[in-house]
Amino acid sequence: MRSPGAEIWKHSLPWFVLIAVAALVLAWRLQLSFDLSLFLPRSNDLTQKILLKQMASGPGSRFILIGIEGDDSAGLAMASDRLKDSLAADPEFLQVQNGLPPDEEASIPPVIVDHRFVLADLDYSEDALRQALESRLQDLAFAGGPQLIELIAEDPFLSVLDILQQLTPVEYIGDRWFSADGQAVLMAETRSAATDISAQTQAIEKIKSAFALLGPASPLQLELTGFGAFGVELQRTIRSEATWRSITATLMIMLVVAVAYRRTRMVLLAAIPLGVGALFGLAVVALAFHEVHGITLAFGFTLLGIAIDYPLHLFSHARLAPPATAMERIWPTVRIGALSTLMAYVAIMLAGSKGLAQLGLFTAGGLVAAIAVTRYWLPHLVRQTNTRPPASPAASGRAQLLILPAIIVLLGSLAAASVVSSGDLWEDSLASLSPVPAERLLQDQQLRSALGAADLQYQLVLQDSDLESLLSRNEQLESRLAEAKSAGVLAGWQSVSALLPSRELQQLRRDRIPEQLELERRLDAAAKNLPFHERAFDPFLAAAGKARTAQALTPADYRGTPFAAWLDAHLFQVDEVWVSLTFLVNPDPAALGKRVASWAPGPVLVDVSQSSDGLLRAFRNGTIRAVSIAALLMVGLLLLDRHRPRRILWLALTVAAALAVTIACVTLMHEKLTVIHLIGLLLVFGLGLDYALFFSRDESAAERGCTRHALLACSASTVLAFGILGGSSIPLLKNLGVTVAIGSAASFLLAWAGRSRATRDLSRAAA
Amino acid sequence: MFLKPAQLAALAVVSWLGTGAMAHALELSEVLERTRVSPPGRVAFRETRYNPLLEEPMEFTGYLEYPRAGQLRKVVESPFQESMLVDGDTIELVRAGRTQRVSLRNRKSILRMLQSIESLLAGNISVLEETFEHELSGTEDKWRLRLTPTAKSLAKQLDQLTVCGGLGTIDKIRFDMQNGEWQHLEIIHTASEP
Repeated sequence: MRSPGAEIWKHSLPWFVLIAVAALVLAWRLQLSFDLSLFLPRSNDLTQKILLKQMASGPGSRFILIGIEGDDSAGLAMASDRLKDSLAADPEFLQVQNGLPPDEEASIPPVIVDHRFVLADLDYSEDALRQALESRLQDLAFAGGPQLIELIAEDPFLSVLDILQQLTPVEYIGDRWFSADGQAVLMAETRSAATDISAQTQAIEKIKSAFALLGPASPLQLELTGFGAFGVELQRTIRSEATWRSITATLMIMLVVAVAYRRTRMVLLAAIPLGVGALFGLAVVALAFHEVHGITLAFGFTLLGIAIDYPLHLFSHARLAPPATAMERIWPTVRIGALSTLMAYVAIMLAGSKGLAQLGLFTAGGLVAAIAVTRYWLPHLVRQTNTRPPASPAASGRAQLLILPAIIVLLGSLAAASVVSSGDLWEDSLASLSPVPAERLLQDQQLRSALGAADLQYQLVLQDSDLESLLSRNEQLESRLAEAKSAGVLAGWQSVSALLPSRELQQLRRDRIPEQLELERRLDAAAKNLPFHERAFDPFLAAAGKARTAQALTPADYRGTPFAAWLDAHLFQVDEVWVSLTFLVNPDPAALGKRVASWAPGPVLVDVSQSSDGLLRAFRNGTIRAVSIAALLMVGLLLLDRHRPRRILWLALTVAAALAVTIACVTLMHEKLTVIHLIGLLLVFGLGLDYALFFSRDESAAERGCTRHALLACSASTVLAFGILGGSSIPLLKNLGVTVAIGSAASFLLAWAGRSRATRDLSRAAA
Repeated sequence: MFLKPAQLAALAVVSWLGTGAMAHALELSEVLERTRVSPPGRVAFRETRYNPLLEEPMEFTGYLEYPRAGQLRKVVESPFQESMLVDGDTIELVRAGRTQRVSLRNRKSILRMLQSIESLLAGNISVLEETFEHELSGTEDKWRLRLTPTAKSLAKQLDQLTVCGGLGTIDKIRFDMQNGEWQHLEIIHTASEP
């Protein structure tokens, strides 16, 4: 006979190989990301896709908003100017603004100067030229400087200034930005994308050190918000929270196991399915996705904590029988419970955001690995504890299940929840999905509104499979907007046509430029009796001659210029379709909506706040659909497993009652349910079914004791682990943790109470 | 419409100078002390201006108004109508019935020029010395002050600023720019002056 050591080694070898493979996969593929947009929902609706694209990379996503407080307004204004000056020179930032007009020495970008003849409608008639020259004379009577002299010589129409003005429809009135509560506000646009967290971290460090230089002992306080700033913050929070929360959760679980089984070996063995599960889950995610989000990595492990239940069932039941036999006995129940939990995780996977898909895949993969380890490896490692005499399975009795208490609890909780939420259970704001705390989002909103920039709430969306046709339609839209503007329906707009006219319009404008000699003749005639030098406008003539035969202006010409980001915000591709966004300044939505409807088929007027609510509703409905399908599948599974109809009814009612109690508690604490609560409820569903399945098993009194022992340990570890998650400052995780902790406790109590009377009845009958 | 009004505003501030008591020693502090002005007041001017785009210099006439401290208005009457009000660090320009406001807060060289000129008016010699090197020559009743900018941002545009005056008066101011531009402002002292 081989030694027990050799036996264990023989059964463990394949597992060691698998663990090594998973570790290799991780070493090869694992790449971390802290991209917040990963947790935005996916959508099939084009308008919503546009919205999401904007949130992830739209105008303003690169903005870091800087708030300064702690002094009177004069002191804050000075700090604002000094901070702006010290940051403006930094190549990390594309622009730093504090509300003051652009610097006089800022030069006009060459791409605009070079293409001014196709970017503006110029009138080359003698009259128009004469008018322009007279205006320039007045300008020169009043101002000067080499820059202006040079500009007028090249561009007597000063068309470049008109072009630039169209890009910023809001006039700088020259006041520094202050928020409603008196903070001085600055905006720094980073060169790097908001999702590039290491570059964003650098940018934020630069702002902080520039701020520190304002005065070492100054009473000023700095506040930073924005997509990038939140990403950096989240990274820090996840790192610090992940460390201590996972250590605490692990210690808690170890404590529960140690108290329940009183052996160090058990604590170590219980860790094996969890460890292997986490490793495999991560390997699966690394294979399926290019990057693994910090949240998946840091908190997926806590979600996977549910897998601790399986070894605990085994350990408790191994007190009555040899581990392999105990495993055989509980396997049907463990299997159906694991399958239902797996379905809940798959539902998370399909809930509609890439981040949640990762989280779902990680936990589902981890769960399968953990259950396989518990089933096929762990029984070889556990020694029978044999603390009680073995009982024969023949002594098992049919479980007596109470239906009425579950019905009462179910109805009572639902009534309570509907009273608390006053009928409307759901909160559909995108903020509820964000891993960023709500008060930080509010601060961001306050700082942003101080900017008084183009209102991003209303926009006109045009789409076309062909870029040229889109640009032409956008030009038609502009002329209609001009009419609407003169009717007072809106104050202005920002559209791609300002930087990128269609090729057709460009050619039209080029063709309008007269031949060199003819232009020279008209210019001479226009300048008659004006004191201009004969050759003063030679640079203009040369540029016009060049422009007549120049190549068409394309988006590529803006690459690497300060306008690239602007263009990208107003023109982009979604699924092979070109989309242009026209941002509106102070529109009257109702009046404009009416006009836009008459322009059909044409632009769509989008109210971003409404769209985002719609997005969330769609996301929530999708999740509810996934859950309903999962629930039906579970009932189907139970039927296939040939359970009694009364047991299935009891299971359904007990689980439903536990869910209702959880909903009632969560609405009491949070008033409304968010999509994240819904995902928490999914987990509760899986857990609750597992507990109810075990409590409704037909088993002997001794087995029943083991079951109760195991479930108490399971529930205690879940409540503690998720309770720790519930203390997180990241709303997404807090909501999940609180929901699952409450749900686990409610599921245990309800399943236990629904069965406890039956146990008594059975023992009396036996007597 | 392009505006760069502050330079003219600066000019206008410089040129707003009243008559003062006679002095005997040619010290900058004393010259400034004597030319100090207090509002309200009004004076006519004749301006000649040249830049490399022009065949010959342009000429304008109009008046300068000093309604209250911190405010100054320059009104061109010929060859066209235009009014410009400098109020603190904002300029309001009225041309062809249209009013435009421009902030000078971020126009450092212009602001610096305005500040130095205000200090010229106020007789604040220390601020002036921060921005310019000065050279005073001539006699009490016919003096000439040459100011060369030391501040980089200003020196990039302005070559030198020359102020000429008589007994307690400023008569002429001339800006010479780096690119060959110049402006010449002549104050017309009449009996209507305060």
